Amino acid sequence: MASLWALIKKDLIQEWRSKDIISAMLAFAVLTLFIFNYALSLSPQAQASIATGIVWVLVVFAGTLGINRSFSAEQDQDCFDALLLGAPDLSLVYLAKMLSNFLIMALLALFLLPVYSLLYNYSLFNGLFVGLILLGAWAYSAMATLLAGLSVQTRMRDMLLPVLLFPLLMPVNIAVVKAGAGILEGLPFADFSIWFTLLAAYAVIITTISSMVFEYVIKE
Amino acid sequence: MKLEVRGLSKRFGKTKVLNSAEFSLQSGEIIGLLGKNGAGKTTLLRLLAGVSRAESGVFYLDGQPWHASKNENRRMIAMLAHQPWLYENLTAIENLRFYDQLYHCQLGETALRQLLAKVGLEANARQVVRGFSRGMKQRLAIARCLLHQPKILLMDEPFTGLDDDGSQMLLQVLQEERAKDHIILASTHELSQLGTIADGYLRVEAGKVLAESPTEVLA
Repeated sequence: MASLWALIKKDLIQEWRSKDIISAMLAFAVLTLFIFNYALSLSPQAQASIATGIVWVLVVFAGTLGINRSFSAEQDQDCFDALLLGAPDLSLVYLAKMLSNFLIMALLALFLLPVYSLLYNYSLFNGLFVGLILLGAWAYSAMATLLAGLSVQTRMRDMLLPVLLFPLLMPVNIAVVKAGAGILEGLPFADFSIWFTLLAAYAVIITTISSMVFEYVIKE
Repeated sequence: MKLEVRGLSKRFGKTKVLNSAEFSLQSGEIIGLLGKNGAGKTTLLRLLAGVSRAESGVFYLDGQPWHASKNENRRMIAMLAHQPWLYENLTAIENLRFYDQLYHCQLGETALRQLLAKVGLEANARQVVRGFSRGMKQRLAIARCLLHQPKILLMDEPFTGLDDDGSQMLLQVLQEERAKDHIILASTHELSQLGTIADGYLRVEAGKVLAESPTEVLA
């Protein structure tokens, strides 16, 4: 646990000092939200079915922008090798990076919700909805962190991550949008609980598999 | 402690950098690793450290099969590479604290500061590494290597970027590690520094690793 915490703390301190990732993600998300605001004028009924899609698209695209850079400190100074030598278990390196990415994604999502509510005059402050977005962010981080570890070692890293990631994220995207629409339309939980189950299963399975294979992904 | 390497091979594409290389390293000795540019010195160090995969080859530590990449063995090794393996947005002391926690050394603040003092960076403990010169980064990387008291010390051009004081400090460190009966292998092109303390040499040439005595090398 001490090693895991050290790895997470190292990532968060670095991000706090450089603000490389979060500033790019926030700028992209807010600007895109403004564009959506001008492009779409939504009735309250349409809001319920479309709001989740807009928020989730922003989280995914802005997240990809940030996660693409999440291994840059390791890549720039060859610190991957230091982790290969020093980490007691290489799955910890994955888990720490995944949790750091999740925290940054959660911060982005929690920032976006009030901004969206303000711009569209439509409140997204619903406990279940926030929980859904955070569960989606976990599923997203689990897959994106593994693929970022893979793509960062290639010359095409900026292009490769979205190309690999977006098809594999389809179950997450569908589950978040379907469940989110159900929540905002006020449907009974039983009507959309299957999407929560799918999302949770995806997050757990991908986190488990990724922590097992990460060693082979980052080793030469 | 004796580390024996048998049949070590590595290729990059069609180029075979190491071809069934065989050699051994004895603890309590400082061994210089020589060879022309591109001969395979860095590759050899990375293979020994377990951060690169060999095409073939086996390691024996005191006669027992040994795998550098195994969890319990990785921590016996420290490597000083071309890149210092430091996080640029962390301060010097934060970098050491990070590696201290990663290795479960639990050295504490005083011991970490002593380590910084040993490499001459005590006054720079709270400075972010991004602002360090190449030599300062190299000093901090040396401290990082010593942090978990490794039994096998692998160094790739360790004198790079160091000034005269830094070079003297490194020579002192290497002699202390030799006195602790550790295995030390350091690649170098510059024999004026390492040549003063080396007990022997290995030369990488045409994919093979050949042992040479100090008298042969310095002649």
